[in-house]
Amino acid sequence: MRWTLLLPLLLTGSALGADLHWDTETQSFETKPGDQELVAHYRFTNTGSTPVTIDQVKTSCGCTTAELTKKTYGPGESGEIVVRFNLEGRSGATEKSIVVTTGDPQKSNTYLHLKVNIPEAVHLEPTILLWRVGDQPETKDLHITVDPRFPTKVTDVESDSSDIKVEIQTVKPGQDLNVKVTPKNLSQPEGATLVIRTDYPTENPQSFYAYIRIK
Amino acid sequence: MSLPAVALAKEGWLRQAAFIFLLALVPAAWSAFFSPVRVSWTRVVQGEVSLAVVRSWNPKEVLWVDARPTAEFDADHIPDAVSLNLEGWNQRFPQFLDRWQPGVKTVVYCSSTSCNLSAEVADRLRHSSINQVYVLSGGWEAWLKDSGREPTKSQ
Amino acid sequence: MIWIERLIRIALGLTFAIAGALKIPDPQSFAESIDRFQLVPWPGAVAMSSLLPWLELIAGGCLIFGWWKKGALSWITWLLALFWAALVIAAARGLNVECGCFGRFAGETGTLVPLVRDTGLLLAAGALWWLWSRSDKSRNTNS
Repeated sequence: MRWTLLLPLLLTGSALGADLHWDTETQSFETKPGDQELVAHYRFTNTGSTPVTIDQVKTSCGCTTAELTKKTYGPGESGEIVVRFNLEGRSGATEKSIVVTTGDPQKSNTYLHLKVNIPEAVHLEPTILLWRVGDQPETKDLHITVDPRFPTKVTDVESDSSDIKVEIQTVKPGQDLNVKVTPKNLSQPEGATLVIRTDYPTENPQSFYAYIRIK
Repeated sequence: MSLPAVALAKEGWLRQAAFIFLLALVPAAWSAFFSPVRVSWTRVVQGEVSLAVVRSWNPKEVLWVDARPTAEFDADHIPDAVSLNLEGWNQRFPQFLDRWQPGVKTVVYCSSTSCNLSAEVADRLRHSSINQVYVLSGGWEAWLKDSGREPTKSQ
Repeated sequence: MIWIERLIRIALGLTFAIAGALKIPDPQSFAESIDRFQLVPWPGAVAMSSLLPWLELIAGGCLIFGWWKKGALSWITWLLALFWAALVIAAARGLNVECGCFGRFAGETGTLVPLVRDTGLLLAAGALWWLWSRSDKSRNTNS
């Protein structure tokens, strides 16, 4: 009669005996300025005795895609999930998760984590320079500092409006600048953009923006 | 069929179920309050506000920001909302700034509760020194429900 | 006939006990799964993620060893019915349990496979209730 105890194993089916072993479930990265995309590989192996079918791979946002070449893996077979994270417009530390489901809601899913730190090569303080219509056109300072970890050098600071006077004071050439910004007059609402150009990365140098608004 | 036996059997399952429940309550309490992997009871997104609260504000002081992809914004959006997302930040942030006034309450939304684009855009706005930035709880779905419309499948 | 009752009872019990045991070390993931159905507010999801796995484990265990059988199966039936209803509601709402960002995952809400499996388990529970009511009847007519 003891053999009847083994029968439930058949009923619970692919749940038991099927097991995905992951090389690593959490990966951390530090990107370089100018990087557009981060690609991470999550390798796994089916250490069970029955084939495993990956039902779904869901990412926590649309900025991350996960690719899988095929869905079913036999015992002993390895595969990988290729995760692509779009870095556009991002900076600082961020974490994304990817959920891998094998179809059975009774079993817990695998949660893969992607930790990314996106350092900013250039720091602007402040990013917005604001004046009020009717006030006195006083000078405001824009402080530009380059993160010394990166070979970035500021090559140019330019305003797209002739109504804004821009005077650059160099504290440390290419790396530390103080820009004195003075609007010609504050008679009406206006907007302008300051472009801070750099030389890094060489194939596609980054530009940074500070915004001037007269409200 | 003997009625008392049936009655007793019926009462039996309820009492048994109650015992099982009480038995489960003890480790459940441990899981909820003492376990090292216990879950936080609050899941507040910073600056999250409900649509009801936003409606209580002076409409002239509210600036809606749509954090969804451009295609979704173009299809439909909250009237007078500005489209702003991370990918198109450099092009769109100046457009946001043109609409923004100091003292205005910026409310960011994305498609529903389950997306986090609004939190990301809100964070980036705060990082750019915009104050009074909020995230709409329930997002576009909440807006639709409030105006009596159903979200279409593609959304 | 006894062996088929034992077979279903132990199989069902094992399924639930294992399901519960697997969820206990990771309540965060379970709470997030519950949250995706948008049927209860977050604190409700947290409460359920703390209680449900233990209920499953204990009810499943009771069923395997034949203790408090009716109470255990009541909980199991109730949980299966609850989950079944949640899946139907999610499918009906066209609930996009994906990221809701790009419509990429719009078609796939992943409710069909769990629904089919849940129906199977409900049928197993139903079969068990039926088998028990038959043996109760035969015992009653004999006594």
